[in-house]
Amino acid sequence: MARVLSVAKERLSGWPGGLVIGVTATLLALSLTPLVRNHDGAAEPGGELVIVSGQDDSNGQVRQKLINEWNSHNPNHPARIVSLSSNADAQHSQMLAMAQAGDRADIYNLDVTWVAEFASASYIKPLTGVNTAGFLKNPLDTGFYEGQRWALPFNTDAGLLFYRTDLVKDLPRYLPPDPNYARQFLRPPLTAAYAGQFADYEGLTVNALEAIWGAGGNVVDKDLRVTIDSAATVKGLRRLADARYPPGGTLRYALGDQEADATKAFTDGQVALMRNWPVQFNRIKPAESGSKSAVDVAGNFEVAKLPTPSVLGGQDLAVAANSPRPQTARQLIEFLTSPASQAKLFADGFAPVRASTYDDPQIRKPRYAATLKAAVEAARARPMTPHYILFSAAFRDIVDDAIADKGDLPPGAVRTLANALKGQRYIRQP
Amino acid sequence: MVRIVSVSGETAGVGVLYTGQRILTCAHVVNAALERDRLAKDRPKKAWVDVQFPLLPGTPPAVSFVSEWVPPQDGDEHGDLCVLTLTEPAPAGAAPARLSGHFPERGRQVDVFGYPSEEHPSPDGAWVTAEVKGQVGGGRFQLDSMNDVAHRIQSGYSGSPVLDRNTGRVLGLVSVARASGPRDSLSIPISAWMRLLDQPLNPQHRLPRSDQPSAPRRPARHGTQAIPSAITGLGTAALAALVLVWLVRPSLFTPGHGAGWWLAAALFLAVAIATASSHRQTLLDRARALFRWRQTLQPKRTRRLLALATSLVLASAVAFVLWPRAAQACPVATELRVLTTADSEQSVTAVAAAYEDSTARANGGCPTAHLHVYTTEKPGTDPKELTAALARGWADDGKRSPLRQLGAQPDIWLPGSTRDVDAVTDTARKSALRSPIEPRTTSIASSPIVLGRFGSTTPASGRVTTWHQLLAQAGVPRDLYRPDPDGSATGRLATRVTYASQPDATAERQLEQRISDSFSGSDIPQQGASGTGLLCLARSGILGESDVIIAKDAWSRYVNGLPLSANCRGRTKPLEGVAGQVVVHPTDTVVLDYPFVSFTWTRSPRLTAARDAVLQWLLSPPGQQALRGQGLDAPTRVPANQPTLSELDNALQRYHAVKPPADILLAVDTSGSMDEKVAGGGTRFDVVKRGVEDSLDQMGPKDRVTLWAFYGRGHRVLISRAPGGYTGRQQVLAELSKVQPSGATPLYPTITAAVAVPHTVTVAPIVVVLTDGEDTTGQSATNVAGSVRASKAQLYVVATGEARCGAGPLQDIAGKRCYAADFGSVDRQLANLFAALWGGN
Repeated sequence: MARVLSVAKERLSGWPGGLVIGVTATLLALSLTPLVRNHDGAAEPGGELVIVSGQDDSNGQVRQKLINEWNSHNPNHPARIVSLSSNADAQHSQMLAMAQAGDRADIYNLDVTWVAEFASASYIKPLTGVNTAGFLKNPLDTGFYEGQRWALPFNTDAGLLFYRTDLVKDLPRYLPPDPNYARQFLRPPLTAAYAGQFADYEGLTVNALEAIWGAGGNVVDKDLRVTIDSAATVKGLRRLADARYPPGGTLRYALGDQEADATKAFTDGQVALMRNWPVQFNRIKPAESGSKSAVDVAGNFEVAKLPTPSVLGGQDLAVAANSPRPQTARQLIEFLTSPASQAKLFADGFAPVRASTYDDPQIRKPRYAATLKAAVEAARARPMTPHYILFSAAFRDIVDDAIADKGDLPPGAVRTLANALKGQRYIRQP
Repeated sequence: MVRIVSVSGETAGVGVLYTGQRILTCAHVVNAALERDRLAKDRPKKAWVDVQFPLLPGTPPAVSFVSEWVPPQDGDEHGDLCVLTLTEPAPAGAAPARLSGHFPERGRQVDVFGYPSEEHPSPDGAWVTAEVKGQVGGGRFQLDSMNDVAHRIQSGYSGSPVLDRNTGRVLGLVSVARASGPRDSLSIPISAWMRLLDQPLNPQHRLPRSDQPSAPRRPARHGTQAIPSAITGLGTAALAALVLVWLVRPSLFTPGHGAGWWLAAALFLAVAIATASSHRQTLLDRARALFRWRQTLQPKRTRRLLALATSLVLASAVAFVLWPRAAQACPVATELRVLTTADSEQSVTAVAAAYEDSTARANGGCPTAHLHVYTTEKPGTDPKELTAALARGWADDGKRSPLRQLGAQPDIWLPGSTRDVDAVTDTARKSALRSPIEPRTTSIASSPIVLGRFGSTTPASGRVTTWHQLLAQAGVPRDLYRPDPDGSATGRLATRVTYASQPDATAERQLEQRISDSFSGSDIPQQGASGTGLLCLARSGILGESDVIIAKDAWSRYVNGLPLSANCRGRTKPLEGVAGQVVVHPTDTVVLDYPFVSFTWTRSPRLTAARDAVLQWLLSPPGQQALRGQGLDAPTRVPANQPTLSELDNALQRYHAVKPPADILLAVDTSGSMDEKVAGGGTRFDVVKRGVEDSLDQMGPKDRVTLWAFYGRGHRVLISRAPGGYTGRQQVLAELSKVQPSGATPLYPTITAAVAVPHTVTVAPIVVVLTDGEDTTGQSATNVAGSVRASKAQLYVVATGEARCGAGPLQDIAGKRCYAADFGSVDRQLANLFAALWGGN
């Protein structure tokens, strides 16, 4: 035996031995990889699946209904939704802290801007081998980061232009609209032409990006290089500044702090146009029968695709890195993104991520379905960076300063954004 | 020195060991050993060649095979060469000969060992001394045996090394010797051999691997052999490292990843080295031959340099892969959830930013932590919800979900006062729960309760002042504001300290009436009023000449123009030195001690370490400086005069007892639209019922509530002047549960009737109308507004669903007291409003 070992040791000590060991180790590692990474093919023990998600604001609680449906077919793997605050910052913080603490979660329902962060930190697992046929390209791309699929889109979103059909004859060419275009609406009972989202939150990021894109500019290119100092970008910022603080000191013609404020202004008949998300469509309701006092906005409005690309919104489903049942979690994600589930989500107000859901005449859908599909297909994603939150905050401060300074960029804007994209601490100016 | 033995056991010639396992000799010697034609050109196949080590007595014979073959008589200097490789490492004591790359100089004396077979045969071998005569044709050099030696170079010396007497190096190899006659012989210089060995082998000269008699064994690791082996190992190690990276970070190997090209290059290099090293001639030898460096660099040195360069490239590639983003971007920072009060939200946010900056400065610009600062003290949120949620570990209780309704589960809690912490512990104890509060809480700062005076000429200092003197001095004409005792630590402590300064309950009641009148007169909701919120109003000029009981740090931020609250985030010009802004520090005041609270539910080592680091920093000089920048004082122990939890509770009870009672008429829309489904399940009316239920929780024992339902053509009285407390609450809920929404919305007749109802209490009658739609009766809104103005009633409208406040008739009727809410928050909005109303406004 000793001789055998001695011979083996001697024969494995040269380069051929190293090669043999290397190849063997590689083959062994490759054979173990599926077990390590995806548990593919392995039978998983029964048990509950935990989905961590923001609060479902839909009228019919369709997400819970879908989970109930899953549970009825998968009694060994029932799912439970852990609902978080509807506040995006609270959602993000809670999910991130849970992931870092290794708290129990099987699926995260992530805002599309958080996928890169969770993927880069390996808080979620790659979703290899999922069938992505039938998904709309733009929503599908939000779950793809660094050459790898990490998530499947659950629901998508794109901004729409809400407009009063009794007042608006020609739609604006870009947003916020041109002052000359807006002037026609600056008469009672209207108090402004246009409502958007201009408070210091993600809504401002979205509206500013769309204004910049509408002017042909960009903030960050596909390689995450900062391009905010281009002439076209500054042009977009000037449009924002003009809308909020028109030259000559006249009344600002763009109103609205957050989504609900804009909807209220539109519903109350204060503005003729509004940029908002499709979910607001059903919140513009007609007054009860017999009422003679309300402005009949609900009966006189329509939606259109934004004249220039919208920001792409939505949420993606990803398997938590510490999920004890990743394969089942993946199956649940596939169920929630299946054509049948998407049809139910659409009926309750969520924008679906599959083309067929928009096109199928058998599916009950809102009347703006075709418009929404076109908007989603034309929408553009926000920068995919693990430090999106930091980037967005830095960008908003720059936009705030630019709006207050007739669209001119504050000093150091490029460097500030470049640092923020890398996650380097950005000191907010008071 | 090696003796080459023929298959029949005769001496075929001599060779020399030049590496641990390789022997140089002449091809014709090997032909002779194999008993082939001496000039046979074809490479011997599957042939073993026996060798002996004659100068190492006792060493057993060894076996070798042909590994390089250049046939004899090729007509050039390369001819007649063979390299034999031992199947076993050379025996101990057999040191490889040192080769000389220089052509032998004329006149140099050399020694040659061989086995003379013709003249004076010597089976044990014999040395011959010879002299280099110079170069001859075919690249060889002539070697003449010295006359004064016993032997001459002859047959049996073929393949023998020509050893320089001075250096001991091998200058050449004897290839041609005369059998007799002249004493000259010809030798191939080692320099020619070196060139030959440097060049790629001609495939036709190579022994196919399958033809090898056996797999060669690893040569001994010494000399230059160690370097190729090391490189082979390095290549293998690099391959293994890349495989490991692929397992850990598979995404790096995908197209589109920034590291893709680096990885591809590293992989190629690793494979190339591993493959090249597997050849018998090393990559380094090939490189040396290619660039002809051997004239300027020693082979060993060249190899070392190349090995070093290769190692650096590989190490860089692997390091780049294993540390892919560090050079490009920061890792995701540790997320900490920091819960604080509404009064402290802006200051804690600023301090948190300073902490993140400090970690970034120490970490190459990358912050190690991100602090999510938030507060649950918002309109529509019952302050008791936070205490209860903390006590039960932020878990759902079937009715309330803290994660959904309050926000993230905190890792750090910065309440204003330790008494808030005590309240959580007390609540947990009463519920038989284990308190989630970590035993050790540390004060990070302090701030006394002071009186801020707007438009005052009273000097800030100069004489000792107590709360009693100060409030008496303030006088009735001046408005007095105080944060909500139910909603803030400042309000609770302020209530306690001001009550303690009053002589009796009557004085307390007068104080509350004065505060209540101040809020009412300014149309500011008392419920939910925060200290910074009041200062924000002061900054806007809404408060006018008035006094505010406030924490000193909030006052400092106010005068320094710092952000105050969510609605006052902008900076303003500092007010320091501006006349009419005075703060007074009563001598008998109490202090907010700002405890740093941790929770037992934060168990992750990463989060606990990050949390502890925050505390450590807060107590350090930079942290204290950041806190002072927000107007906070140094940490303090709980002062001796600090009220206990029971004293605070007692003060709150007295507050609720002395505040003016309310008699409220609540008219609820029960039209058909209230039966519509809402997000979260249930109908609109279900949400309203929840709101009413929560509102009843706010009732004091002296408060009264009347409940109407309006639908169809008019209203119906469900219950009249039900008292506060359990009985009244149950009566109202029982009546409400019987209602089935239906019909139209007679909103205007209901409002007209409600404001006309006579009330019995001394305060102004209060009417609250909750509707989800506009009036459907066609009455004139103008007339209704006139009726409201003509009455003494305070009308509040909560508009939800299709009902709207802005630019509509309800705004005309209710003015600023029209509150819009969606169905996600209308229950809380209603409870909030009732709490304010029952709080005396």
